[in-house]
Amino acid sequence: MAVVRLPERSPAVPAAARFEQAVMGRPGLAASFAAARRRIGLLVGHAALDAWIAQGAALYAANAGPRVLTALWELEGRLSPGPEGGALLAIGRAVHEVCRHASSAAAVAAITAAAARTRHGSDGGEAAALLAVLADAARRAPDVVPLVAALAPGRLAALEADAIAGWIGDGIGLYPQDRRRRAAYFELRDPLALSRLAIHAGASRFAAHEPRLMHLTRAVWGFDLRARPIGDGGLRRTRLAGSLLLVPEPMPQVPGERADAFFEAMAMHGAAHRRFTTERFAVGKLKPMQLALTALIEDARVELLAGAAYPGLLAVWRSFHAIPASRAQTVESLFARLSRALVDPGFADGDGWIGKGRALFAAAFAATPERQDIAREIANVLGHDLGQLRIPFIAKSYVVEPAYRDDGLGLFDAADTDPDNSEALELLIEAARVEQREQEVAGDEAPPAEEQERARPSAVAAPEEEEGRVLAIYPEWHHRLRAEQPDHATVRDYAPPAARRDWLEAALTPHAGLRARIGALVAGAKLDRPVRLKRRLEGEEIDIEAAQEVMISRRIGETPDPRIHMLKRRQRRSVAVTLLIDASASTGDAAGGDGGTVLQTACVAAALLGEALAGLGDPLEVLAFSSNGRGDVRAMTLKAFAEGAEALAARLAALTPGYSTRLGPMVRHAAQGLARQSTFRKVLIVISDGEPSDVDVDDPGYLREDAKHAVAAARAAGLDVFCVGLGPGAEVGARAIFGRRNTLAVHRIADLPQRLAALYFRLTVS
Amino acid sequence: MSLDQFRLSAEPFYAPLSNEIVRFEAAYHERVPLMLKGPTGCGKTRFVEHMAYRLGQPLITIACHEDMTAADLVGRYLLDSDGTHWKDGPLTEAVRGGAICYLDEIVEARQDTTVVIHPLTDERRVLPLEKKNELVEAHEAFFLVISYNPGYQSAVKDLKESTKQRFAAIDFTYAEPEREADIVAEEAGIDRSLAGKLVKIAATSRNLSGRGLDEGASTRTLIRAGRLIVRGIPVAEACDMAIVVPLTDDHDLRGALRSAVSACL
Repeated sequence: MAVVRLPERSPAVPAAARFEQAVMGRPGLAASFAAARRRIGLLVGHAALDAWIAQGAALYAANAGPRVLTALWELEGRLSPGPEGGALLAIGRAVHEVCRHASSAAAVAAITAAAARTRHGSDGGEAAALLAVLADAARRAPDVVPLVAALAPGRLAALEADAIAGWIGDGIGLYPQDRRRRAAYFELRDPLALSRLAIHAGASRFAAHEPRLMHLTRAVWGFDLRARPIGDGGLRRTRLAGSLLLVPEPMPQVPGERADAFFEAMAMHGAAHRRFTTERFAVGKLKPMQLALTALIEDARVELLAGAAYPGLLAVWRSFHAIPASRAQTVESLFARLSRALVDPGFADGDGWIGKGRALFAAAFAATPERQDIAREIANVLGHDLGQLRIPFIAKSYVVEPAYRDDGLGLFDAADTDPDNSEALELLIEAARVEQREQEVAGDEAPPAEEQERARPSAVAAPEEEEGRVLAIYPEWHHRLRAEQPDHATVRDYAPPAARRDWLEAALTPHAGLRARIGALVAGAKLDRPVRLKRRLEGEEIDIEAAQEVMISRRIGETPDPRIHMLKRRQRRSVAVTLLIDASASTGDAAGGDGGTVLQTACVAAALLGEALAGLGDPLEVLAFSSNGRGDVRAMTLKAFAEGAEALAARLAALTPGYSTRLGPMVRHAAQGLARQSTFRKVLIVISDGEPSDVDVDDPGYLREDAKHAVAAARAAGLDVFCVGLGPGAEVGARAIFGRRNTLAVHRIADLPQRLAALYFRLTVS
Repeated sequence: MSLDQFRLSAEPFYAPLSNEIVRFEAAYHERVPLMLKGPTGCGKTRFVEHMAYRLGQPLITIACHEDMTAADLVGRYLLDSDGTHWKDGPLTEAVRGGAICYLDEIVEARQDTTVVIHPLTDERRVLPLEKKNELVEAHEAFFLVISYNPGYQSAVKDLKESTKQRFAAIDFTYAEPEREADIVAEEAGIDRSLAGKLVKIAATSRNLSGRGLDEGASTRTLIRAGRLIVRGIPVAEACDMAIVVPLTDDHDLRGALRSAVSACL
C-alpha cells in the first residue's frame, strides 16, 4: 500500500503523534483515517482538529477496534462541521462512551444508526443527538444499545432524539433489573413498548380530545358526537359508519402542535357529513377513482355548507390544506390540490383539470348547494378526463388528504353496487366489515333510522354471561414510568349473589350492647335543629332582652353590654359515606374470636354502621370489591346512595370471598361516585385485610403505588379517605397507602364493628 | 311616605316576545300576583321595569338570597338613643305605599321566609307584622311580582306548592334569533350582522345547557360582549370575557365553547 501523505501539521501532543503513527502503520485503518483527517482538517480550526485527533487517540487506546474506528471516520467524513467542530466532537465523545460502557459491537451499531439519519454535508447535529442518547443508555443499561440501534433506522426513524430518549427511559425504568423483559421491550415484543412509543411519537390520542369535541359537536350541531376508536391499524383515516365516526387509534399524521385544531377539524368534518350528506351514494358502476372523486367533492360540498353557517369552521379546515400549487400529474397531488381548490378560493393552481373541476363545482354549488348528486355528476366528468390523461389510480394506496377528512367509503352504499363492479365491491366489503362490527358494539346506543333499515347479521355475539357490565375504565399509575397509563383497568358491575344464609341476623344479636352505644352516638349526632345564638356582637336580629338590658344600663348609668344581636343557625349534618369492603379470597380466613371469617366480621360491622346511618339520614353507599386481572375489577353495590338500608343486610350476608385485591381502580370508582354527592363532607372508608395484589401483576410495588396515587387523587378532590386495616398484617401495607393518620388498625378482628362505628362518629361529628 | 324615588324616570327598552305586555296589564288590573318564569338574563327584570314605567307605578325590587330573613322583607326594630323603633322593610313599604314589588329569584330565599307573602297573595291582601303586632292592609295599587328560574333549581331549592299556586305565570324564553339580534344590536350599539353572530354563539352554548352547562349564554351576556366590542376589544376576546369564561370552569367545555365561538365568527 502506498504511503499516504498527510497535510503538514505536527500534532501538539506526543500521544496524538504516536497515535497517528500507529494508525498509519495499520493498513486497514490508514486509508479511512487519512480521508477523514484530510476532510476535517479543511473544515475545522486547529484547536478542533487537535481535539478530534486526541479523541481518536483515546478511542484507539481504549481498544475500540478497527470496525468502530472506520465506521466512525466514515460517518465523520460525511459531515460539514463548523470551525468549532461542535457536533463532530460530540459524536466522538458519545462513541467513546458507548465503547466504554457497552461494547465495540454496540458502538458500531450505534454509529450505523446515526449514519442512517445523517445526510452528506450536514453539520452532524442529528447524529450527535442520537449518539448522545445511546451513550446515556449505555451508561444505564448497556444491553439496550444494540437493540435500540437496530430499531433506529426503522421504527424509530421518524422520532426526534428526545422522544427516543424518553422511550428508552421508560423501558429502563419499567424493567431496571429484569434483562429478559427489558429485551422484550426493546425488541418491541412487549405491547407496552408500542404504546409508550406511540405516546412519545406524539401520535396524539383521540380520547384526550373527545370530551371537548363532544361538547363542541353538541354546541354547534345540536347532536351528540358518536365516535369509536379503532386500534387494529386497518384504518388510515376516519370512517363514517352511519352516525358513528370510526377513529384510528393512534391517529396517524397528527401535527403535534396543532393536535387540538386537527381533531376539531376531524370531528367537525364528520359532523358536517352527518348533517348534510343526507343519504348514501349508490355505487352502481362507479370505479374506485370515481368513488374517491365523489367523496372528495362531497367533502367540499358539506364543508362549504357548514361554512355558510359557521365561517370559522371553514378557516379551521382550510388551515390543513397545505399542498402548494404545482404541475405534478400524480393522482395524490391532483386530488389534494383539487380538494384545496374547492374550499379555498385564494388557492391559485394553473392545472386545467383542477380548473375545470373548480368551475363545474362552483356553478353547481351556486345553483343547488343542497343537492347531493352534484358530487356524483362532477366526479363522472372529472374521472373521465383523468382516464383520458392516462393517470393511473391505485385504490389500495390512495389516501385521502388532508388527514382530518374521512376516507370516503362510508358515504357509499355497498348494497347498491353493480355486481360486475368488482373493484369497487372489494373496497366496500372491507369497509362494511369494520363498520358492522363497530355498530354491533355500539348497538346499545340508539341507532338512527338509516342504520336500522340495513339487515343486521343474525348471529350477534351475546355478551358473555360471566362478565359484568362495564361500569368504567380507569387509568392506573405506573410508579416506574411515573405516568398514568390511560384506560388501564376495567371496573365491572356484579350483582350481589342471592342470599343463602341468614347468619348475619344471628351474628347481629349478640351485639345488642353495641347497638345501644351506637344509638346513643346517633342521638348525639342529630344536630339538624335551628339554634338561636343570643347575645352576639353582630347578627341578623336584635336580641330584645339584651336590648332592654342595654336601655336599663344606660338609664342607671352603667356601661352597657354591646352584645345585643341574635343569630339563627341551622347546624346541619352534611356527610356522605362510602364503605368499600375488600372481598378478596384472603378475607375468607378465620377472624379468630367467635369463629366467623374476616369478611363476615366486616359485614357485621357494615350492617351495624348501615343501621346507624339510616337513623341519622347520612347518605351511605356500601361497595364490595375483588379483582381478577385489570380487565375485571369486580364491583358489587350492596347499597347505593339512593337505596334504603333494608336490602343491605341480606346482601352483606350473601357476600362470599374470592379473587384478588386491586385497590386503586376501585378507590377511583368509589371516589367518583362519592364526589357526586352534594354533601359538605364526603368520607370514603376502605375495609381491607392486606396489601393490594392481583393475578396479572408480579411487581408488588405497582398496585401499592397505584392505590396510593388513587387515594391522593381522591383527597385532592376533597374526599376524606380512611382505611380500616384488619388483622396484624394489614397495618403496614395500609399505612403505606393511606398514611399513618388515616389508618385504623384493628388487630382483634372481633372488635371491628365497635371500632368502625367509633371511627365514623369521630370523623364526622365535630 | 313617598315612593317617588322608586319611580322610573325614563322608559326602559323592551322588545316584547309576544303578548306578555297585555297579559301583565290584565293581571295588574285584577291584582293577580304574577310569576315570571324563564332562564337567566332573558329580560324578566327589564320587563318588570318596563311595565312599571308603562303603568306609572313605583317599583321596589328585592333581590332574594339565601340568608334573607322574613325581617329583611317586612321590617325590624332598630335601636337609637331613645330606645327601639320600628323600620319598615321594603315589602312593607310597597304594601303601605302602593307599589309594584318585585321579588327577584324568589327560590333563592329560604322557604320559611317566602311564606310571609302568602297573606298578600290571596283575597285578604294584608301583611301581618308579627313583631310589631300590626296588620297592614295593602294599598290599592300594591302589586306583587316574583321571578323564578326553573333551569337550575334542585329539589332543595324549589317553591312550595302552596306558594306556586298563588301566582299566575308568564313564561319567558330567549327571543327568536332575529329578534334577539335586534335587541343585542340596539342595547349594545353594535351593527346588526355582528349581533347576529353573537346570537349564533349564544345558540351554540344553549345547545349545551343541561349537557355540561347549567344554562347557555343569556341575552344579557351577549349585550355585555357587544359593549366590550364597542370599547375596542376584539370580538373573540370579548366573547371569551363575557361568555366563555363566566359560563364554565371546565377545561373541555371552555375549549369547546372557544371553538364554537371561532366557528361562528
